[in-house]
Amino acid sequence: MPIINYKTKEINCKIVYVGPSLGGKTTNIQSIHGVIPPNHKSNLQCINTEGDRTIFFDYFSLDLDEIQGFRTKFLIYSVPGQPYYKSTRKMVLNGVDGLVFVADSDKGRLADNIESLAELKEMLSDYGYDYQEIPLVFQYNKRDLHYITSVKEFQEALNDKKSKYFEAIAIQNIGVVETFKAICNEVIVTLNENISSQFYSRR
Amino acid sequence: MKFYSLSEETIKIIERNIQKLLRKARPKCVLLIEKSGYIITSKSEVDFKQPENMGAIAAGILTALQSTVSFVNATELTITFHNSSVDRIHFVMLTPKIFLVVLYDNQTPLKKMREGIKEFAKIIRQQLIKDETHPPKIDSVQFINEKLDEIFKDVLR
Repeated sequence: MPIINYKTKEINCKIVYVGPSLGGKTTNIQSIHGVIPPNHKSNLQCINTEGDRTIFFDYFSLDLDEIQGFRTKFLIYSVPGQPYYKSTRKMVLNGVDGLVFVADSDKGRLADNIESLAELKEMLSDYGYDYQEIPLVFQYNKRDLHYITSVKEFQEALNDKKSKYFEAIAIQNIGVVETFKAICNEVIVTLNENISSQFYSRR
Repeated sequence: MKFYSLSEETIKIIERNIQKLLRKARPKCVLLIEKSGYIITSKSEVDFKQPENMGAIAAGILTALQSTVSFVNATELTITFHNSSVDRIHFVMLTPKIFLVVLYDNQTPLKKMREGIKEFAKIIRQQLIKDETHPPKIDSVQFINEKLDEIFKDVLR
């Protein structure tokens, strides 16, 4: 649910990185955070276990400066992927405006990707979201591995809503920014369409 | 996609009432936060380690606590710290999406603090419910794309 603050002239949108454990969600967040100039970002907040696995969430905000009189901010989160952190994942999804599903291309993990997406759909439904309507971009990560799920297989197994997708090697910063830009774009387009249909079409 | 827009008038009313709360109950910090982690407005004399991330952390704590224990109809909860400069953190749900966080020390009795917050919450809840603002239309996403291109210019080269 984007928040529009008329006093500070800010539009805030929440983007969450989801997907199976060890798929590269945190790597994506760290890569994006690493290349954004300091004046456009908050510190990266990671709440991890001792072994550096995400336990709560990773978070930072991106400030795009003023655009048409309003500052646009994106609040970026990633969720812990391990199965037993289901309740934490659901918590972070509260109020989400856009999603990046980071799929693990390792051939042996296709079932984990499918299971993770099924859980996401269930959680979105619990919050009253229509999965077909919410902005979502897929990232097929770890394309540098030897035995990988093909793009065609991924598209058939995951992408039934024909969302945009990107191949990536997040650890090398390949495909990361492209994915991020795509979801920002989709969130703003959707927000704009909703504002137009709910307010301006009545005039 | 639903969205929440807060008018300038609403924010002014909130800020005026925060000032009133500060005078009356003398909290160390007042934060008004949306559950996505966005800080709507704040007044603080506490040095947070990462002030910009406080909204996300507070939203996470509140939601985690709510999912740990069933509060049934409770809209308030207090966390007490011991041997700390801030003794209590008080959370109050104002609407299903917006909550208030108040940090205060043991100089202020809990009862007095809750009275002040109750008065604040009553006014702000009403204002949040009646606020209906026409959000701005962003005529083109081109501006957003250009800004993102500028930010990531070294990577996208």
